[in-house]
Amino acid sequence: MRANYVQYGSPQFRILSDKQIEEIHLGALQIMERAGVCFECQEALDLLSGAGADVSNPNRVKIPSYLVEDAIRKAPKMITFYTRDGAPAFVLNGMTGSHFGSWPDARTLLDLHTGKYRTTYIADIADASRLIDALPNIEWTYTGSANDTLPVKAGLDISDRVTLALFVQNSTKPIISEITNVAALKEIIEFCSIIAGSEENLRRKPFWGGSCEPVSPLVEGKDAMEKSLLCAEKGLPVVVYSMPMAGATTPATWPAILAISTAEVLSQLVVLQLKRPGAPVIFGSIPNIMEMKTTIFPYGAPELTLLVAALTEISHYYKLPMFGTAGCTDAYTVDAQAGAEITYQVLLTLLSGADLVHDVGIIYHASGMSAELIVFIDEIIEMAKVVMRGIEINEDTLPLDLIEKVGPRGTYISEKHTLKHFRNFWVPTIFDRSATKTPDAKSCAELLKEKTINILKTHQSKPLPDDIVKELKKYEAMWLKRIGLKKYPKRPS
Amino acid sequence: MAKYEALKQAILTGDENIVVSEVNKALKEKTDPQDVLTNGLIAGMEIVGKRFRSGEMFLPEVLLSAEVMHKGIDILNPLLSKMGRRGVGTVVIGTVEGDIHDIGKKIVALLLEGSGYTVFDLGVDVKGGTFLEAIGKYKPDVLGMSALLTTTMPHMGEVINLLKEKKLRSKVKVIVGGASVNEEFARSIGADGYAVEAGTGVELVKKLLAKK
Repeated sequence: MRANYVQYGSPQFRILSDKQIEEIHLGALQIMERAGVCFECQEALDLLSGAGADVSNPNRVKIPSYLVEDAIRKAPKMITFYTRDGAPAFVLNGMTGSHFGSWPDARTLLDLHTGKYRTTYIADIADASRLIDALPNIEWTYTGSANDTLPVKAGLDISDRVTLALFVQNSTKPIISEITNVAALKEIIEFCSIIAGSEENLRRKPFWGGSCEPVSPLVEGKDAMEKSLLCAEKGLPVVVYSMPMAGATTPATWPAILAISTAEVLSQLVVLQLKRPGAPVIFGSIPNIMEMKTTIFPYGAPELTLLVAALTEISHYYKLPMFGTAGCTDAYTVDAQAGAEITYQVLLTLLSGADLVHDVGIIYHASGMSAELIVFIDEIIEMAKVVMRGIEINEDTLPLDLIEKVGPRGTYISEKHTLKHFRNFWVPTIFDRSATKTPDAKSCAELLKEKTINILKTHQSKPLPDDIVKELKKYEAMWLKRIGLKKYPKRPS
Repeated sequence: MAKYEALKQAILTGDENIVVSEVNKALKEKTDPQDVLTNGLIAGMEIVGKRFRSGEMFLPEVLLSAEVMHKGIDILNPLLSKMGRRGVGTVVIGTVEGDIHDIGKKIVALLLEGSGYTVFDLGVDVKGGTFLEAIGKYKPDVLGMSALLTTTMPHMGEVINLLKEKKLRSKVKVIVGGASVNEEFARSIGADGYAVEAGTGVELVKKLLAKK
């Protein structure tokens, strides 16, 4: 029996000190109380006013700090996501590590076969959904709200629902959606309830959550607020994240962008907890720099990773789950730059423990999506998890008796102990470790392409029950009719 | 079930008890011990070798297979020598003078044993004279030399020259390996072959002895 002993050691990582977190928290409180936050939504203004905020100027609503502290107290510290079929998928509570999600429906994609960018077709979204379903380290998906092959008619955009319907037919994994507007959200909740069995089931076992974005600096827009209020009313999880850019929408210094991000999320949290105490909210924001040469939002910037990791510490200080960002690159193709950017993002994210991590596989500063990049990142996550598992010390892992028995000049290669433990060694599937560079030894790029093609060719997702598919088809027909189509535009072969 | 199927399967999974019982069963049925060796044990290890090269099996598993296969050979050996038969081949192996790196050479030796060869491992820091003595004593088909350091690899060429001097060069195939060695170096010192790692080393020995 060992006393005061920790058998398991894993990497320890910290950016901000306790005192620094406190300072940023107090900074955010002061911003909300004195600089104020702009609210465009009347219901939000009414809720805030009723609770004691000063809404005399909607452009600078002053929220007293006790309201913020109260909202943090009421917000759930633990959110469980379920699969489409109602099995627990993962728990977000700041303790279960990072759960990575991808994005199947970017408007353009890097074609796997031609290596060129092209428009994303509906069939591509189904393929990407199956790919996400197949990959063990991609645990959920984000879905977007625009597809360029569907005609846009004012107020009748259907892309967000089409994507979502495609995903649930091709994967059981949980979903966070970008939502066009409140009307779209109502339809989404309607058909997600059909899948879950009822709206009550969906609330109890959510496989779906929304996302609503404050606009930096410090604006809670009308549409976003209305959507998140509806999610809160229904008790469905919602991710609240802004995308502040240091030097453009916030001061160019890290504590400033962190304090503003925090104020943006917390001020929406206040409204949502007033609407429904206990409304599940995932703390977000993607604080980043603005690239001062090109004005792009550089997804591969180390500053982004640093700031998201710091914000994760702030989020966990509130015991709220964090919406992280990793697996993104500014590179135009899946090349050395992409490899470098995704690897440090994934590792630092895992170290920070951000809970729900989005945007795996976006490429060329979020202009597109690459199937190969998603498969690449799945492997990087697996690789980084080797480090995250740390080192366990016990009598079996430190076998001093065996070392004594084998002695100097001995070998361990044929020991039973080796046979028992060597399977813990990580075996890459796409990295070249060939001993001989024979002409048929494949490069990482070739192995990656091969693996991606192979998954797409062979992976069968668990189908939805027929009666639910039938219901979904009715919705699809209705949406298509609205934009004057009979069928989805066919992907050119 | 095909002949020796259970035996080969037991070698693949590393099941010592089944290997021993299958070999004994075959002998009881008056099967030629040479046939049990070639078409049972060695054929089983050939499947293991194939799976190792294709990445389906890992080294520690291969060595477990080799170990249980040897339990079978231990039963056959007295019978084979009584009949005046030889095994598949004999290899003398060692790390050259001035070099004490051991593990790579050891793995080659283990894998060769696993393929049915009789291996005499002379250890590390082996002087030229010691190699010569061993060749005289064990009459091997193959001499394997290993060196990790660029400073010690020239000793490989010296040993080959010694063999020529003593008119032993034609009696034995010489193979070399180790981190600093490459194909070009092997050719330059007049070795018969080079392999980059243990698995291909076994293949090399097989190829050289087939030519013989």
